[in-house]
Amino acid sequence: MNDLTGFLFLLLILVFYVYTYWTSVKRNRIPHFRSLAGLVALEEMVGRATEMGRPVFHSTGLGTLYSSGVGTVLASFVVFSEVANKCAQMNTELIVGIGAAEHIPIITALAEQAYAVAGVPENLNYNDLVFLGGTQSALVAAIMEIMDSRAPSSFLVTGSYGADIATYGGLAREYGTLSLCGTTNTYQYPYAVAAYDYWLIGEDFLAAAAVISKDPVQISNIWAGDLFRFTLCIIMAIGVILSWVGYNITQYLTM
Amino acid sequence: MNLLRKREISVYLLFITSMVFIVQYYLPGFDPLDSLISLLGNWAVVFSAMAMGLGLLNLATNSVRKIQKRSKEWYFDAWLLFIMLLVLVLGGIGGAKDERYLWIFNNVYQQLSPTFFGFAYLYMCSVAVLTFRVANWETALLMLGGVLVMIGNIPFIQVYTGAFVSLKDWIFAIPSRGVFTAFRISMALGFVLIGIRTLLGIERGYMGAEES
Repeated sequence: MNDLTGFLFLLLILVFYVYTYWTSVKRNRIPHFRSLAGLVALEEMVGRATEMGRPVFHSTGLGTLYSSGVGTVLASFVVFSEVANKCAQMNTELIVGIGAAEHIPIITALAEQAYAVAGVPENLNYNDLVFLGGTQSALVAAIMEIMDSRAPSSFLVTGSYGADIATYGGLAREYGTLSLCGTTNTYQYPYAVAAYDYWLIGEDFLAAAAVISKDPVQISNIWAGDLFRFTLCIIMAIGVILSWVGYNITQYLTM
Repeated sequence: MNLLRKREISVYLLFITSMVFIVQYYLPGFDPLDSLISLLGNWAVVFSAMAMGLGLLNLATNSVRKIQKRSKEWYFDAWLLFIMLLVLVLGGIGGAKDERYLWIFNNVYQQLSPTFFGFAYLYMCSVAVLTFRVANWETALLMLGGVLVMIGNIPFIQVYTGAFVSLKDWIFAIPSRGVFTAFRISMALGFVLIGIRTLLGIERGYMGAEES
């Protein structure tokens, strides 16, 4: 049993779980997935903006499409797509702060689709899909300006960010804006939790896409991930006990 | 397959491209794949450059619109347009080593960027103080941990007593590292799953809303 065998063993367990849930979905046994407060809040955020007659402001982050964190960027697009759908349906003003230049065509296409599907393509204001400079400093400055001049009712910060996440949370508090943070940056979790009204952090943010889709196959995929995580916990507990009695199993589980 | 179904085409393209990268990872040194990867890498660079052009266009359009409407503080947009065009012309004519272009880059941009960053960090500190509330025992524990780490980082304390320093090191090495490792394992799994869903075309939310 070499190093790779342990890795393949874990991969096989994951594939087995995914397959098991997939087949159970095919037999109409659809698993229930835990509710994510941050996603439930999307309705409230757009609804609040509609009632107050003020815009929803969504910033989609700086992450590039060619980095290893592309999963975060994709999840951010999914959340944006959902927000755009709701804004189009409720005829609510939508401002989008685009952090990376390569997001511009994607964000534009997502917004166009959302308004087209809602049957109101003429309501999309292209002038409110704004590129905010591509660097962290430019993004912070531009977001401060938009918060000040447009006074949005709801503010969503999703995608790849650094320490600026805390700044946006503080801005939202200062302007009395309902805020949501979606990030996978572990160092920013405390700020996301302390400074925002709602948050989707870590795996919950990545799972958001599946939950929004309401697709049983995707939800079963998340379920399999949860079960695999539970299995990892058991393996770790066994590993700790075995190491106490002098047997090290980590040699089989490293790549 | 109807070629007009763009979603399907995108999913197939994504799958094929990803497979090229995955196979190349396991077969390093296989020439045809290596050159294909190099070609795709070049395409990515070209796309990025084109995207920057789009960004420039977006910024210019928005600024011109604000100037035309005489929106609030429109003169900042006029200044932005002027500087943008100036840098573009200087860089375009003289190249990246043009003295005037470098002067603007080194003396304006390079200085403004950390200045603004410092300002943002100051704001961040005030956010940390203003937004944090000790509402229950968990937050009290979090605050206690934070205070102990801050005390352990004070140079005066580090010089005259080692007690807080070792406590700070223990907090970083044991509870903090344990929790962060759990977060990372959990998130790595999340990345694997979103990757599998995207590669297999199950996850299509990033392609936008679909007609029902």
